[in-house]
Parts: sequence; C-alpha cells; structure tokens
Amino acid sequence: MNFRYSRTGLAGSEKRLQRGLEILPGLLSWSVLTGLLALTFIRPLWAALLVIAFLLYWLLRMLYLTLFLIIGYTALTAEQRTDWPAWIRTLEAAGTSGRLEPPPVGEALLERLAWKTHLQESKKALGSGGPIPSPDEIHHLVIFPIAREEKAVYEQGIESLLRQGTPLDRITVFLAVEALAPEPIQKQALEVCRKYRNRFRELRAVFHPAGLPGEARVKGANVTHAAKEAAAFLQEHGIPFDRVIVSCFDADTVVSPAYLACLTYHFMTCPRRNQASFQPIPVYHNNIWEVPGFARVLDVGASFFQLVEATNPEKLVTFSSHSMSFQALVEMDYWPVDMISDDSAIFWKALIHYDGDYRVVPMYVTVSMDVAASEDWRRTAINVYKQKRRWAWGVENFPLVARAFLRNRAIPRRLKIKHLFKLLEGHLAWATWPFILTFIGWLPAITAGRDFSDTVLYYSTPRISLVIYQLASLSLATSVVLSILLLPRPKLRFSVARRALHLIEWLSVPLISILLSALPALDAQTRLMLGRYMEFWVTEKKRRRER
Amino acid sequence: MIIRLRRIVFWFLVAVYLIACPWLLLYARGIILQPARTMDPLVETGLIHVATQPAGARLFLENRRFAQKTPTAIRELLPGPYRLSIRLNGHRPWERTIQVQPSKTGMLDPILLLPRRIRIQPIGTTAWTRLFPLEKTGFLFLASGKTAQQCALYEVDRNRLYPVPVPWPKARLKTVHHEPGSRRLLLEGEAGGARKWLAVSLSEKPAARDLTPLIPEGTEEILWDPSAPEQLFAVEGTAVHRIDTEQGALFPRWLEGVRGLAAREGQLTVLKTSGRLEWEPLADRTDPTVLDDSGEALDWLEETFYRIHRMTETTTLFLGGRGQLLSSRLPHLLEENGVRGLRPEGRTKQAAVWTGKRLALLDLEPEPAAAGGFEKGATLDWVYSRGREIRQAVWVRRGAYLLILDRDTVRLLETATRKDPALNWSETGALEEILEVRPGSGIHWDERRGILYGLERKSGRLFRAALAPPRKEGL
Repeated sequence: MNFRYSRTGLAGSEKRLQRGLEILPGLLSWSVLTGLLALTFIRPLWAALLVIAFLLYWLLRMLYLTLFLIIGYTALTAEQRTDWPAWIRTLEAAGTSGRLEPPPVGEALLERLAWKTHLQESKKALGSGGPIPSPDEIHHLVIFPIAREEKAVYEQGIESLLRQGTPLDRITVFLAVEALAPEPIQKQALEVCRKYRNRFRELRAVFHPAGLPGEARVKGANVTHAAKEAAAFLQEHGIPFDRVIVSCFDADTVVSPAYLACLTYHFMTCPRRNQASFQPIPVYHNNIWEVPGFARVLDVGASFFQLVEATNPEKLVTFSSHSMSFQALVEMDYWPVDMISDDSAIFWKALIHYDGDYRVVPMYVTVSMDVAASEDWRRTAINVYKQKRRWAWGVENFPLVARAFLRNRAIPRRLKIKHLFKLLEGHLAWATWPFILTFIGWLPAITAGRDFSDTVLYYSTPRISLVIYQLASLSLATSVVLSILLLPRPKLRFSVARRALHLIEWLSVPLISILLSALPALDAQTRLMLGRYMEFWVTEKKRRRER
Repeated sequence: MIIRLRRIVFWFLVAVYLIACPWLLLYARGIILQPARTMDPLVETGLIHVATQPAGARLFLENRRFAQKTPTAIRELLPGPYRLSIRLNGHRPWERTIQVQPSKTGMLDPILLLPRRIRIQPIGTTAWTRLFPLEKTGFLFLASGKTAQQCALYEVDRNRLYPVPVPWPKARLKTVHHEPGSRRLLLEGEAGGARKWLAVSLSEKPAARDLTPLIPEGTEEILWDPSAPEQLFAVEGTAVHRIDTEQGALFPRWLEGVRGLAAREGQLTVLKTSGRLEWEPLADRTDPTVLDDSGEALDWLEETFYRIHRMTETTTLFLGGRGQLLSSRLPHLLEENGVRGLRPEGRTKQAAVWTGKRLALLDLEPEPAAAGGFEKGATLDWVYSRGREIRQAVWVRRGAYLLILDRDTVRLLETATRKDPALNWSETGALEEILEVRPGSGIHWDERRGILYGLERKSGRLFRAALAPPRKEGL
C-alpha cells in the first residue's frame, strides 16, 4: 500500500483524524490516572476493587514477562556459543549440493538446543524452494549517524566492525555527518575515513545538508541522505540491493564480534529476507560502570525489555540499532525524514508498505551503546530523562499506523488489531502503571471515609496488595540476578561494599520507574496530545579518559 | 517453539486471571463459598479487627483460641453474635459480645488492657493536698497546704520539683488559673482581705511576678492567649480590661459590652451583649471579622459571662457562669445549667462535657443528613451517669478512652466503640475502676508514656502509675 508515513502535509478530514489519533494516547493515560484518583475519593470501594483487579493482572503479567526474560536470556547465552560462520558454510554447501550437513555440536544442553533450532531453520530455508544467497554475494552497508559526536565515540564502533569474521571487502561504512556539525567534528570524520578507508570496501563521510524541504532536524533525515548516497555507490559498483543488508546504528554503537556473521546467517535463512528487519539485543555496556546506579538500572531494564520482546517475533518492532534488507528500505523510500522515532517508524512503514507481509527477526546477539551520561549525576538524570522521553515519543507512530490500518484493506484485521492494541496498550502501561502501583493503589485506604473504613474490603485490600507485591518481588529478584549475569565485568576491581551497592540499586526501581520512565512517557504523550511536537535532542555521549 | 510456548502460557494466564480475579474480589469483600448452603452458597462474612495496647494478647472467640495474637483481624466470620475474650498475662481480661455484620468490620482499635495490679510508684515524700494539672505543658502544680508558700511545680519529663518564689508566703491560696498550653500560670491568693495575683513562669527556675497592682479588684474572670501570655484579659461585668504584664500597664475597659470571650492563637473571639459574635487579631483590632450578626444569640444569652471555646471550624461552644452550655449549631441550648467542664478531642472531633453527676460526649462535627432528610443537631450523649462529683475528664489514646476523676475515684471509660451498635457498648461494660486519689486533688495523664499522676489517697504523696504502654510516635 502506498501510504505517506508522515503527519505533515495533511488536509481536511485526514488532518482531523490524524490530530484526533494524536490526542488519544495522552487522553487515555490522563483519563486512567485522574479517573482512578477521582474514584478513590468518590467511590473508594470501587477504586479498591479496581486496584485489586489491576494488581492481580500486573502480577500475572510480571510473572509472564519474567518467564520469557529467563527464556530470552537463556537463548542469548546459548547463542554465544553458536559458530555462525560454520552455519553459513553449511548453508552455502547445502545450497550447492542440496544436502544439509550441519556443523558439529558440543555436549552442553543449551548449545544442543540452539543447534537444533538452527538445524530446523536451515532445513526450512532449504525446503522453501527459493535460492539461498551465497555469503559471497551478501554485502553489509553500515551507517553511523554523527551530529556532534567526537571520533572517540564512533571509532570504537568502527573498530568493532574490523573484528567481525566477515570479509572486510564486503563491508561498506558510511559516516552520515550533519552539515551543521561543528567544523572540528567534520574534520574528525574525514580523518577517521582516511584512517580506515583501506580496511573496508569503502568508508566515506557523507554530509547531510541542512534545511532540505520536507525534512525536520532528525536522525532519519540524515541517515536517509546517506542511504541514498550509498544506493548510488552500490549501483555504481553493480551490487544488487537485494543482496545488501543495511545496518543503521547510533554513533556509539559497538557490535559484538559475531554480529555480522549472525546477521548473514539470519538473512540467508529468512524465508522472505527482502521483507524483513533483523533486531539484535541492545545493551548499554560501553560505559555502564561509569554512570550512576539509577541510569544503570534503567538501561539494564531496557535490555531486559528487548530480551522479552525477542521471544515474541510476531509482535517484535525494531528498536534503536538494527539491520534490514536494503532493497526493502529503497522500495519504501527510506526512513521517515520528519520523525524522531525513525527506528520503530521504519518497521511500521514497512509493514504498511508490504500490506502486513513484513517481519522482524530477533537475533540473540548484542550491540552495545552508551548510557546517556554526563559530568555529574544531576545532569546524567536530566540526560536520561530526555532520552527516555525521546524513546517514548515513539507514540507518534500510533496515529500514523492507525490511519494507515483504517485505509488498508489488505492487512488482515487480526494483525491490525494485534499491532494497534500492543502499540497503544504498551504506551499506556508505560505512562501509567508506575503511578498506579506507587501512589494510587494506596489511596483508597487513606482517603476512605467512615462508610468505607468499616468494611471488610478496607482491611483486605492492603493485605492482598502486600501478598501480590511479595510475589512480584520474585520478578525483581530474577531481574537482579540476570543483571549481574548480563553486565560486563568492570574494568576496575570494585570492593565488596561497592558490589553490594549494585544489588541495592535495584531497590530504587519504584522511584526511578516513576521519575525516569513513567514521567517522561507521560510527558511525551502529553506533548503529542497538545500538539507540541518534539525537536530532536542529541543524547550527550561522553567517554571518560582511560585511567 | 517459543511462539507456541508463549501462546500456551499466555492463554493459561488469561484463564488464571479470569478465574482468580472474581474470586479474589469476592474474597476481598468478605464473600466466601459455602457449598453446604445449597440455596445460596455465597456468604457475606464479616471481620473483627482487634488491636490491643499492649499488643500480643490472646484472642478467644466463643471460647476457642484464635491462632494469632493482637494486632490481628479475625476473618471469614459468618454474621451473628460472637463472644470475644482478650487475655494478656498480667492484665485484666476484656470481654464483649460482638455482632458480626456481613461485609462489615467490627473495629476494636485500640483496646486498652489495664494491668491486673496497678503499681503505684511514689515520687518523693511530701504530703501534698492539691494537684492541679497544667495541660499541655508537662508541668503539675502542687500544693501542700493552704498558704501560697506551700506550693511547687513538678516537671514530669525531668522528674523534678521546683519551689515557687511567692512574695506573700502567708497569703491563702484560692485559685490556680491556667490556659492549656500556656507557659505561665496565675495564682490567685488572699491576704488581709485583699486579692493577690502572682504570675509564675513554667521553667526550671520559675520566675514569679506580682501582678496585684495591675489586676482590678472586681475581676470576675481572667484569661489569656497561651501563645501570648504577657497579655491578660480580666473580665468585670461586661467590660474587659487588658493587662500588659511586660509593660506593666493596665488598659481599663479595653472592651465594652462583652458577654463572652476567648483568646487563642493570636485571635480574640468576642460575644457582644448585642448578640454579635466577632473575632479579630490581637495585634490589629481595626477590622474585626463578624462571625454572626443575626441576633439569634439573644434568644438564649443570659446576664453572665461566657467562656467561648472554638472547637472546630463549624462548632463553637459557650460555657456560662451557671454551667449553661450553648452551641453555635442547632439546637443551641445543650444544657441549661450545671456543666462544670469540657474537654475537646481534636482527632475524633468530639468533646467530653460533664456536670457533677453525669458525663456526656458531644460530636463536634455531626454527620450530614442524607439528601432530603432531617439534619441531626448537636446533642449530648450521656455515657456516664453514676457520677458523684465529677471533677475532671482526660482523653486517653486519642479519643478512644476517657479517664474520669469522680470525687476521689479514677475510672476509665471506653468510648471508641460506642457508636457502632454491633460492638454492644454499654456504660457498665465499658467502665473500669482504676484507683483512688486524694479527695480534692486532680490527676494528670501523660499520653505519650501512658502514665497517670495523682496524689495518694492517704499519704498525699505524688505518685505515678503506668496504665498503658508508651504511645508509638505517629499513632
């Protein structure tokens, strides 16, 4: 379906519909919060019953997410031992000989489970009938957007590409530099190009002019400009787009050594590879030990969220650094150039463009980025708040997706309902649940008048709530354990006391979930509701000097 | 495989929620399933919440011991009467028949368990004749004889006695005047037929100041704002004289045409002879706020002075010289005569009012009427009617109990449960005899520590007796 994925340039009823749908998420969130608050005063009995029903729902949801967090983490651990190049060779050989001879497998249970999964995937790919591209045909285009970042930030990412098992002559790197970037930044980009150009097939800096018509000051405009330049480059060198996988990273993205091999494997086995995106697990390990505890907890939580999402590929949406078919990118006219949330918007754009026949393939391999840090904890808190608000601005996709779904008859209704519900419910929960759990849940007991305070319900509610919170603490305990396993070893040895403090950081979850998660989400939704569209704010990324 | 697992788990949890949620909500409301009742297996149960002081008491319901100790809630009780006993070693047992109602909670919080033997701990050896509690100051005024030199101040927290420097030691001590919370008290004495007035500061070294030259001879009542004790107001007829003790100045007839007066928190509340009720800041009297100018007060205003007690935002009480008690709310006349004292309780918004023989409770903010219904006016609920000479009443545990000094006997009256008919409150059942004190003396209750102070009946020694555990902060 041809649908202009943008809120600008609309008129008449379409504009009104767009505006109405923009108001909806914020209106719902505020209605839930104020409605519950009012109910605690007007009808404390109903409020108490609603709170109990909500708490039970929340508990079951927490247990559900925890189970799949464990599964996701297990999968991530299992895949760390996967020999991706071996599987690539296996597929290549099977493509030629028609016989699948899988690589050897170790004794460990997880390794065997992963091996079995890949065996099934390979069999399915071979059985699909379509040709599997040879790894020699597959090219990687990597784009690093640069707005104000110094070379120390993105040079690590480039170095990480050098450590991939993939032949470097099949990797092309474009530095998408904003023309408005300060001159030293532009010079540094050119220096980096000179330093690493000969290592890759191509490494060049592309300067994105400011003020192009129809563009906002967003990352999507920058990387789109670079992608168009890359398209010209690929055409010039006779590289077909359907054999190119584009990876759009952040300036601070550092990929794990197995990233490109894992990506190649999944591209080869994906049944409709040119209608697919490939989503790794984002972690924030670049500077995780240099930041205050609250920032660390939040970003580990973000990684956990993606780990859980990865176990549900049917509803997976791209987030942050990810990869996709370059052909698909070109066919749908690249990333939106007037939206902040280009990382998720590209998925929705693709889903609509291909009438629902688009998928995101989870990859259990990590890409590491920076935690939004600054010189002191106050500025770090502000940076984190602004970053989370930018993430929550992904709610801007809802009205666009809803409008597109209303027009598109080809996408199955079930798929539309599934995606729309998840999109809306996800943002609603993000903005409201911490407030309900921390404040509103306790209000009926405090605001109760005499007619409520002498009921059985008045005494039962705190007791039931306590039991539910105690059960939910299992989920918190699991998160603490997994966070210890997931976090990289600190470069410096920490004392026992300091390490114990890291565990205690998780006790601050109720507070930081309000201040640095729910509040920015509510902020973003309210801005959208009021038509105060957000300007792009470049996340401050600083690296401490090595001690 | 993961997708399939996800679907299974998802639908399983949906089923769990759909089944568990209604049951949880019913359970929360106290509704349980009794399959034996084929007609209506869902039964609305009730709950009894019991919290004792001290905690850790054993509960017996219909003579069967309940597993948990107090504070606790006994749940899933079928509606009906239950005999509840509370027992704690070394304390008097407590028993009551409670009527459990569907989906309702019987609140027994707090239940004060008195020690079986109340241990009296004497303080010093002096035989005192009078104890006058100085409310909200932490001090007691003690007198060991009839003359002014035979008096002292006792500081409760430090357990110390301070002599009062009296300039006229032979003067006969007549009355002790004190405003609750004031760091000053006023002694009224008589020497050679003339009245004497002494202001005494409440401190480690009490300072005394002879105010006799300043206070007019015809003074009938004297009062002051506890927050501004340097300003005294002496009532003489319908005139009020102001005495500035710091400047040593008398402002005669500072107010005229006054029927009633109160001074509190920097404000004067004045009831005029015209029936007009107004208040004004002490510091700036130029623009008084008129509270009522309807003249309605004239219907019941007598030619006597009324002490005004501003209880809440909506209720003001007027206590006249004959003991007539009036309220700003309808019906205005609460008691025609004989009221000797009243004691408000802020948290539960009620006041204890007593005559010589009876004690009543007054709701200071009665519940509004249902839509279209008649509003229930303020009425005295007589809860203690066997008095001989009620001289003092003190609230205990934030309105849950009253300590009543009836002639020489101290009694404890449970008041918290009286409003709930299910808790079967009765005067007999709610009353406990505590101990006897010296006739004519007062008592002091230290709410924070749960200690009663009084004078031993025979020896007159000051004593302390622990009746309740110390109150936890914030409760």
